[in-house]
Amino acid sequence: MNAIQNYINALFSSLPKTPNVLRMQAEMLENLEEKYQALLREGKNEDEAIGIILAGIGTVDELKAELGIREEPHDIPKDDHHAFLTEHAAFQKQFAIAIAGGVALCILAVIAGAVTDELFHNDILTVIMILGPIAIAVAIFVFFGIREDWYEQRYKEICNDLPTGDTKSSSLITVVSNLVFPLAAMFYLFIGFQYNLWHPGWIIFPICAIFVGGLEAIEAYRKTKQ
Amino acid sequence: MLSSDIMRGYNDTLILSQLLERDSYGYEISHNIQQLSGGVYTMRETTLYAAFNRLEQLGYVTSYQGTKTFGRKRTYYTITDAGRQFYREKCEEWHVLQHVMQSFIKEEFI
Repeated sequence: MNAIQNYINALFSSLPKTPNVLRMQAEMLENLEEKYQALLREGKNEDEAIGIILAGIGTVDELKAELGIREEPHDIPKDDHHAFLTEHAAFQKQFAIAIAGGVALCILAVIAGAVTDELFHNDILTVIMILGPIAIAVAIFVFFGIREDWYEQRYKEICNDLPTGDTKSSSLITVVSNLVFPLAAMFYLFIGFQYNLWHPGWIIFPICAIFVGGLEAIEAYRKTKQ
Repeated sequence: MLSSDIMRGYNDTLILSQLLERDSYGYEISHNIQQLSGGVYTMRETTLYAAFNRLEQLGYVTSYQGTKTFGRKRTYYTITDAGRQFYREKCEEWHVLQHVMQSFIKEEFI
């Protein structure tokens, strides 16, 4: 009977010691003892009787399932996911507003530049009036671009349950790509207004396009390598 | 042998059926179920005692301490009116299930 008692003790060891559980444990043991006696009366030897009893008890997982005891860790990630998705939805609204704001600042920069030029005829002031709002817009694009990238990575992780690959380097490339065109626009406006180099200055845009294209090709190559 | 997966959902019915005529206790119920099933189904102890616990909480059975010939205590169970009602409902459910399943059993393909 010791083997049975040990098995039952082990079976219940990971369960919370509520009065119900303790009562069930005692009840199971008293009934198994009776089953043991009955098996011996049927002519089984002790080892056979213990074998039959142990085989019929069931496992700790079954017991937990029957009692409705669930393992905690399974629930937590779900709540986590839910919180993240809510946060992600809220961020997407912020992101849209920020991008619209950035674009508005860029348009404002051109108007402010034209107005300043007309009123004061001061080139330095005009450039400041143009570059100031554009610098703020670039800062907004970069800041929200990085956060958007982070959210997208996590979102993909949750949706596909895939581990993120090269998070750091791919996001760095994204940040650089995001930066290149606003900076190019700033530079183009600067040389345009300051030195009137609108004509050969536009070449900066095709150069940037080739540069970003190259970066994307490198990123794509790295991904396929993994 | 019937697996516990197949019998899930009907274990309560089996247990309550053993209490309809008189009070009983764990080993006796488990032994009777095995005998009545012709040895095809043995209810696991974990299933049986967890079911007692659940049925008692639902108010379908009540328990009391009895005594045995050589003095060891025994927990007996009595079916309540709610338990009998539940048993009838499960029996009706079984008739429906049996009827439905029969529609899917195509004798010519067996």
